[in-house]
Amino acid sequence: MKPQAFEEANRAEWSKLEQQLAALAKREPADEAHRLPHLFRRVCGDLALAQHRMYGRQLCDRLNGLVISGYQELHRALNRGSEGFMRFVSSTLPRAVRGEWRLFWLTMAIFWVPFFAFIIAAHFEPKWIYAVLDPLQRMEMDGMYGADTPTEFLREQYTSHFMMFSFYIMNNVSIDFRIFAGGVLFTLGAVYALGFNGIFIGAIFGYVLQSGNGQRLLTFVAGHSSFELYGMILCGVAGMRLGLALMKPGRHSRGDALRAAGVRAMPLLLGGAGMTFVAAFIEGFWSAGPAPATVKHVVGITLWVLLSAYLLFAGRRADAA
Amino acid sequence: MAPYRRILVQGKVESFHASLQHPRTVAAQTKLDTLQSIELAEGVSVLLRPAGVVVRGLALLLDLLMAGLFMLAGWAACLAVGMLAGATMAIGFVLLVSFFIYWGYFIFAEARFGRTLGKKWLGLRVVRTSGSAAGWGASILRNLLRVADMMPFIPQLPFIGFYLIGAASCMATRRFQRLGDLVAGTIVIYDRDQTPDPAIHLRVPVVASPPPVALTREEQLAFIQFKDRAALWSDSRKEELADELAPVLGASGREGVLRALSVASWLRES
Repeated sequence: MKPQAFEEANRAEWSKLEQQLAALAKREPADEAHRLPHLFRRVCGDLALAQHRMYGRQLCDRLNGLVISGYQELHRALNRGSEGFMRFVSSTLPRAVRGEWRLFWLTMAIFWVPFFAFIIAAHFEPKWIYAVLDPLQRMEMDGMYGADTPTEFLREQYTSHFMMFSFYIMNNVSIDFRIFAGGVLFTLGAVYALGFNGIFIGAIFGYVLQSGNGQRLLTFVAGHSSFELYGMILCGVAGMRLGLALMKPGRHSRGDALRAAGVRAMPLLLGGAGMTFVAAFIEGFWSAGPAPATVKHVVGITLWVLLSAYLLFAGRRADAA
Repeated sequence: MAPYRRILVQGKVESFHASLQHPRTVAAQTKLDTLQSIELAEGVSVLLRPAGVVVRGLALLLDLLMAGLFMLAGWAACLAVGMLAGATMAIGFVLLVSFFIYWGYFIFAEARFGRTLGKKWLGLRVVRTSGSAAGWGASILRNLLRVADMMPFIPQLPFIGFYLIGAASCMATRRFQRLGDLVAGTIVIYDRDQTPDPAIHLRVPVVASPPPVALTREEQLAFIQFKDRAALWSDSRKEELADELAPVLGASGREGVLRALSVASWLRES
């Protein structure tokens, strides 16, 4: 059969499939959509024939393009909707975290060791703080948490809850994403960002606890700290996973190892970003709010315990299943 | 002895007789082009044409322009909000709009439509290495890792990077994948065929004539592909390739090219 005759004989079907795919791409209702899989398989057969009979580039390319578009429309993952979200929260995320427990504790250490080291160092030798915080930053801290700042200062400063909420989303979630992306560079970006945050936040705490109103700082951060720091740690673990795949690909090629690491890192990244969103919500609308200090402390500690228990125990039954 | 040594097969250069003697060398062929053959679940192989660094860089420039325009439009809308609801509300919306456009423009466009505006205009598309649509998961991974690929960038302008890491990774990988592509398992391909139609560019009357010797399937394919691609080459390149076949065709130079083309026409029409 000559190419022209082949084209003549099948042209009607090809243009039918082309029309249906064009309609689908525009999300319009296609007529006779139920025939799409059948048509698609027919065209797959035509492509195989055209390739085998060497009908040349033009014909093969047209069928090739048609098959690719058809494949993309027919073979897509179903959106599992709210059920998928529930499963993610109730088991996928905590199981993914427990699956990476070694990397999780390593990442925790990269943040918490410098954090506490700087608080302790500040207690004995204030020069450690001056090495990290410049005078401008110290003045800013004095303004917010200084010993002689009026108690209502924070509330007056942050009257617009919504604005602060937006700011925390923009700032904190972006930091999480950068920690994750930096991790792919042989974990260097993630280690640097996590260590830097540990040192910087540790220095601020050390400074305020030494020379300012530590009580107020602790009251402010109590509510959102658990979600924010776990969120950052999880994104850090996700990034470290990618970097480790490059450094230590094991039996895979580096490309394959990266791909596999991407699959493992995905739930951690989404979970971490989600937690940081929740943290921004708490920080924007609750942390500077009028509730008494005791209530805020209790809420803060409760959230730390609940979140830790969630990561430790949630979805265990699904493990066995 | 072999009358000719180099044979074009499906874009691959191989020493044909060497491959007969040592079948394993077929697997180690050096590729002539970048086409990626992928077998679909339907049992048919399709060819994907990965896009290189330059065209992707151009698409990126267009996308930065568009994201910038969206950003300005978003801020203008926030200004309108500010008129009604006060300055702090407006600042809050500006921050949110900036966040979602900065991180979301690429993610949303590639997950929902398979391509950003820049890619659409340059005829590119993001697909999984399996050939199927990228979807949300892959789109999120490849676009968050943009931050690593765009290094080194100017801290004050986090939108604009030099993409040295991404470009290096593209050049080092078979399918032109930057780090984000490797992690997400995606490739950027040409959505539509952009090579010129040979019929237009090949203004030579070719008379079909049968091949002088019996040809195997691969050899027939080599002739047909020679004709399909002839429009892309200069005359001297055509002659250079046809000269390899001079002993078989019985002519070299321009006459050899014409004879090779007539054989290809004969094969196509028989």
